[in-house]
Amino acid sequence: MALVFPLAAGGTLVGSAVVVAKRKKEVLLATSLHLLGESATVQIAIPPHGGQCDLPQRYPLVSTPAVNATVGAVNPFADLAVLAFEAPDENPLVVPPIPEKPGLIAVGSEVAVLGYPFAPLGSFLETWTPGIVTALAKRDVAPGVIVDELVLSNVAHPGSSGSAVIGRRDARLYGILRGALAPPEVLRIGNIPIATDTSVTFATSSHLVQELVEATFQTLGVS
Amino acid sequence: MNAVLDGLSEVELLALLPASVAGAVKGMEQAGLQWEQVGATLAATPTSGIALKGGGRWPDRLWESTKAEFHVFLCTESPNYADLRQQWDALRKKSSTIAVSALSATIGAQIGVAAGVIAPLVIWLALVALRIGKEALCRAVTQQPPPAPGQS
Repeated sequence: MALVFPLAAGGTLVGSAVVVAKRKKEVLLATSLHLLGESATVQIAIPPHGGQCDLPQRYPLVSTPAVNATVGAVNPFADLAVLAFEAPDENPLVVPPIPEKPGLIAVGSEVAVLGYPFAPLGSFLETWTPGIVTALAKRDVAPGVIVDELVLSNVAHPGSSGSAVIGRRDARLYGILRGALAPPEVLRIGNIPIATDTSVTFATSSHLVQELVEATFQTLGVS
Repeated sequence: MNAVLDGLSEVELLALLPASVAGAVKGMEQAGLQWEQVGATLAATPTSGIALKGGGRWPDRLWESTKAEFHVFLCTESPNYADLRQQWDALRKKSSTIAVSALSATIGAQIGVAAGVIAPLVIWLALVALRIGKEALCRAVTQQPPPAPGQS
């Protein structure tokens, strides 16, 4: 099972990040870029269950150790970021396989969403939430720019961003959850919708993670 | 700081962007967006289109803040960038990656954002400066209103 950790920005829990690579001592995690916007510092919290959602978890935790991470590479169009921190040893970690291109999971497939949905409330409880791929989307994010996404039927919570979307049949990492549906007609305060449909969620296709992983290793000088 | 851009090449700077980001920037240029619009889109797209989940907030004026600090580095003798200016030649000789990373880190420290988050904006500004020239970029940024106090 993928290893997913709570993510803190500026000392406050904001969402989740999933381990996507380890080379030598450098551990890389993928998350949603928008979680990192207003903070110069990023930390990965390490709860006692080690990000393994299938293990029992003590709850509630008041605090847990954390390590500082750096932002290695980002794709603003896809709302993706890859973070890096140095592990104490070179022992391998569980890393989910990542598809090389979009569209390799069929509409109707079952997925599990792993993350810390109540992280912004101070919770370190990791949950496994079932979902179904309801559409393979190509979002027009800007003139000349299209980003592949998965549309899921799955319930989102305040801290769902950065959660890992894992295929239940093959345990591949298919997406990084980023948000929920906000119908265009809902009432808004500025850009913030005050009504959303949290049962329809969007995840960025994970095939874009691999190039950020390589860019981060290059920046770190790890071959 | 006339020589700040010496030794940087457009090809090398583009190679600092992840391939999909470089491709998207190219796509926006081919669609006719001006450099200001490309920068503003780079800074704003993480929040576009859906109700985002997670704590934290994306800065409203990230493009304006980054651009203003890039201007301070490139076009003024501000002491905020004195250390970086002293080291710049040595950093640039090591590699463009190291130089641009150091510039992103210094700008990030000024505006309170992680260096990696603004790196694509800094690379884009360096690219624009190479294309239109330092003086033209300095003039273009000076003619725009600065960000409001407290906004980043």
